[in-house]
Amino acid sequence: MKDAGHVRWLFRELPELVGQEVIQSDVAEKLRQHYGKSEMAGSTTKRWAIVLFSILGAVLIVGGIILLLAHNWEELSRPMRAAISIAPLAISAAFGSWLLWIDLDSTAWREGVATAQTLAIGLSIALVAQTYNLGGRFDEFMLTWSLLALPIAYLLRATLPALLYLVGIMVWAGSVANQTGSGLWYFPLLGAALPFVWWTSRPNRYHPRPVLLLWVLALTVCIGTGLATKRVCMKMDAWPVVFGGLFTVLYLVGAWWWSEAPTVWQRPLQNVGALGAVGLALVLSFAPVWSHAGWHHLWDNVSSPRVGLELTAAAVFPIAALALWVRSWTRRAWSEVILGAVSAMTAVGWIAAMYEAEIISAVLFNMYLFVLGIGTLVIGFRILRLGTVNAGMMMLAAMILCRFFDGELSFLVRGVAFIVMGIGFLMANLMLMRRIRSVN
Amino acid sequence: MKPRLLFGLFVAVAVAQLAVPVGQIWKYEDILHTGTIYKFRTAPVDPYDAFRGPYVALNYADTVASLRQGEKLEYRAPVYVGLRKDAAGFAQFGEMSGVPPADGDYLRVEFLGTTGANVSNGQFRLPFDRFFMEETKAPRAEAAYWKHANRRGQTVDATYVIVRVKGGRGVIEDLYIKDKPIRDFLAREAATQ
Repeated sequence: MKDAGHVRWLFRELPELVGQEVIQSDVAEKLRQHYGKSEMAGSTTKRWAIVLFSILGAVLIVGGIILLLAHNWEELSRPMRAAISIAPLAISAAFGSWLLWIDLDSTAWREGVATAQTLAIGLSIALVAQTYNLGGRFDEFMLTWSLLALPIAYLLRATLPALLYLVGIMVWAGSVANQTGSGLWYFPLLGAALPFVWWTSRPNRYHPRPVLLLWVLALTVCIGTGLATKRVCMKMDAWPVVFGGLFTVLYLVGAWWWSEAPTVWQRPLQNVGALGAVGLALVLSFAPVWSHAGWHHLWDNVSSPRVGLELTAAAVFPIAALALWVRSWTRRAWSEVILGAVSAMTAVGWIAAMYEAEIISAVLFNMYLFVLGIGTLVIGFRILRLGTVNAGMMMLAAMILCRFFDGELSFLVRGVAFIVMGIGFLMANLMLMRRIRSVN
Repeated sequence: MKPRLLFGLFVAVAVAQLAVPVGQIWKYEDILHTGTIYKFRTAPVDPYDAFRGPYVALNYADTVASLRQGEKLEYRAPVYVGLRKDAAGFAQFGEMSGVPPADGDYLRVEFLGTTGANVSNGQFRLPFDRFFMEETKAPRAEAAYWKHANRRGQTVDATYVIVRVKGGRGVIEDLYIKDKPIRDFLAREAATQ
């Protein structure tokens, strides 16, 4: 890492060095470009620290106000308490207006004020409810708070309100999960945040802001979808198909638009999609998991148009997954084809289970995990990446481990199999390291 | 987007955000000033709400009403229940329906389902189910409430809330134990100890 002080000294010296013809101007420009990047990196870290501190400051201030007002001062009259309840929101809104009026382009200010304003919305609604002794409904509170917070993200170009919105609508979907059809509004609500994700990702999709947004998006979508389609997932036992489709969509969309990420953490969609797909495949490799699926579960529960609508919404995931999977086939992107197959596999397994052939479904997923593990291993060897090889080995090991819990095998057999797996791991790593060395 | 347009949009959003709590304040102040007074008998439950500070959780006795004939209601759907007073001023529940009654007072409540085998009766949840107090007083209030709360088959002191009702909404005016507002009751109890 270059010392920022030395870089500044060098920048001051450059005009004189060019003037005295010690170096040529193009060399000076190249030096500026080279060292400018490292100085930029240093200042970026500082900038992010300032942004994080401003967010933390806003959270602490609003948190403190919540605790102070939660004391519920009886010395204050009711109208006075009501006025105090809305004061944090009015003050933060005034700050936000001021930022836009003077056109201040400071991320720290924008994020700090936006965080305070977002929290102040919830605070104001809750404290007014406290002042007037209203229990209220949690789902209505969460929905109102989330909807009022989202415009702040767009107008102040701030990430935190968008993150809170994504979490907020997921929590709302959970609170209405028992009301058939109501949870489906989760998807239009999610759609309202997607332009912000796109807008934030457009200049640099690997920047920490869109990456953080995508992590929260990917994780909340997994939970939110399950809650929004609870009847289809749980009562109709179609969760393998819904989640198979969802994980495939996440993985393939990630592989489409975020394929050039320099680090693993900058691939949130691929990571969540891949881990979800492998986890799902492992669960579905147990035969009893499929035993609840049946045609009667499906038709008995299609009792109203709302259920039909929920079924249609849930079907979007496997259909979208199939379309993306076909695209991977046409591009001959084999790693995507192997992992993206999980959606088609869940559909086939589910149909087999409908005809009470759950053993076929389980065997199918054992075969799939085996192919996935071996395929990942082979790709890892081809591209000489130790991480990919180990991921393939881990999949195979996890599958074997699952079968041990599943079957009635003796300790002797299990012990031998574990030792063989361990040796396999070591041999694979050794071979790959030798290959990498020989290539180098 | 132009800075001035952005500013204008932000102000509009901020006004909408402020309108939600201000609208609530306006509505509930109006109910407290002009609403009809009803007493609601209470029964005890366990309270604590970390976000809003301590409160006395209120549960109401006999929150059951007859369903209007042919009415099919969904779980947690908003429904309307008619209100009338008995001789002592306590609220009596009338018919429950998905639409507000044409005349008389009524409350907007949450439908919880029919009562067992009797499908003509529906259970509901009243919207005012907590009474907030100052942090230091709430635990004492809760203890006093539990000690004197109404229980089925027992002769206990009357605990009730006075609620102002208007346009389907109700706002608690005060919680009463032994016909005294809870704050007075606690002050008297503290003085005698």
